Amino acid sequence: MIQIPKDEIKYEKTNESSRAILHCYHGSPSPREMHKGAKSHDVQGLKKKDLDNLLTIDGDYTSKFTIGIEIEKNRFYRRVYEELNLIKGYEEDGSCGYEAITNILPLLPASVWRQKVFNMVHEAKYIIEDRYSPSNANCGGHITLCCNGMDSTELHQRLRKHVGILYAMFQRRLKNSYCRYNMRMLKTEPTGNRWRPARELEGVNYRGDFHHKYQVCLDKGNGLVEFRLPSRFTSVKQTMRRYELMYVLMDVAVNKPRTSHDSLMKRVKPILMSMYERNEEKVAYVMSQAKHYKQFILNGNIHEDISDFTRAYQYTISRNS
Amino acid sequence: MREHLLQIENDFLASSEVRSHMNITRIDALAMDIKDKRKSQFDQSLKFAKLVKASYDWFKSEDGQNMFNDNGLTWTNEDFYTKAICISKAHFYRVIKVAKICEENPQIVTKYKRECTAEENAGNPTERSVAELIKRANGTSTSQDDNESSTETLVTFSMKKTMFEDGRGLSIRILSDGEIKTSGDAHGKISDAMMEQLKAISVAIINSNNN
Repeated sequence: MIQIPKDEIKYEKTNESSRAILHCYHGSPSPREMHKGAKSHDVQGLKKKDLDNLLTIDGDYTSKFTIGIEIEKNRFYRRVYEELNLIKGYEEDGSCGYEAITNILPLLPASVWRQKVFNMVHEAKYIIEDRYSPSNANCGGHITLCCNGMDSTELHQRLRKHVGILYAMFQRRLKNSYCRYNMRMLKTEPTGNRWRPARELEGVNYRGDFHHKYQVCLDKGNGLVEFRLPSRFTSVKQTMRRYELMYVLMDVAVNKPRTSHDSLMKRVKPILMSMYERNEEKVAYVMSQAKHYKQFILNGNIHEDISDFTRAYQYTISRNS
Repeated sequence: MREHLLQIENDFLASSEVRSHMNITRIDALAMDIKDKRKSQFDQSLKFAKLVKASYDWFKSEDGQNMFNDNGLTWTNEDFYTKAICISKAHFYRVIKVAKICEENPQIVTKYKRECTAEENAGNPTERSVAELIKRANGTSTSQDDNESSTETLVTFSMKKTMFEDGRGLSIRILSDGEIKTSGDAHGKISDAMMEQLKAISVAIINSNNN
């Protein structure tokens, strides 16, 4: 068959040695902007509503939504640090051992472009898969999101209305003191200081449930919102599912903020089914918990089904009331 | 053969899970055999068609789609035939057509083979071809019984797939004997009255040309 060259983005390595060595905490190189420069072939077949989540600059496409993840591990496979398109660099991490931090990735719906992002994830399997690079419960799976043109506080508050599903998926982590504060995702003020990224906002009563960093979802400022709640990344498939879920949450939060809980669940169900190996019962449980968490985040109501997981919060506010 | 695939696609096609549903190795081997003139091209083509169709059926199935999605792959039909089977669109649809004939009308295949063998035994070398088989199945072969009355298409109306909710186009043919032939669910999409109107238009066109 004759292969016609296509107008498409090709991700290639930089060959910068700094991307293939271990750095100290916060010492890895700046991220590459992988969310820019897609071509027509990469976005072909996308529906109009999905194309609206892209910007066109000089004929190239830029993703409005971006994502970055931290892959925390006790050690990396064979302790070899290799440059990967997915990874901006490797760092030491106090709580866990080591972490690989991704470049700025486009957050996309199903498309040729997304397949290329998933290909990067696949190429990083020796870093992501627990069977090669083991992790333990001390490791987290922090996910940072950004929407071009939207202030981080607004994005934080928009996401707040829809992220009950993340609480339901990672409800055990609500007991973890490194990611459980500001459980109701009340508004905070970004400081611009990476060591103490958030401070209490005047007029907001956190009832003692505040930490300058260890929050469920941290408003980092500069357009960035970081979910600290997700558990560690243990497989390529899990990483892809979380990516898909984040796209839906961002799309709903930014473009369709009035989406009902049921409509959102309908959209995320296929992703959950894949995540939970098509176990209908498990998925139904997670979805029902998501509803209780949504009520909790928005109104502070604690349903008995989520009472055990929110005990730390209950204890904190009882001490401060 | 598959040079332009992403690593994720290559590894997916090479996985044992996928190979149990899409026998790519065998498909590749048959494709090579078909190119090899010394072998019986026709029989290999039939085998090839059956395997491609089985793979395609799995690809379209819920199980297949789930497996693709689980592995982060969103493939269109075009991706399937260009990336997995490595053939062109026209070739792919011809192959599927052949597989359908084998499945739904095996007697046509048997009859065609028997006739070819008879010709060969009579000392007339004939080349068995997939194209001829498709013609037989479509009833358009020139070598079929001469006593079958032949009709020709005089006028064709075709409607784009984007016009209909199910995304399938429609074609209406007016034959020389006055019969109207349609592809797809014409009656679900077009009223009988409109069909008659089309026929009337056709007749008017034919008459004006004859005059």
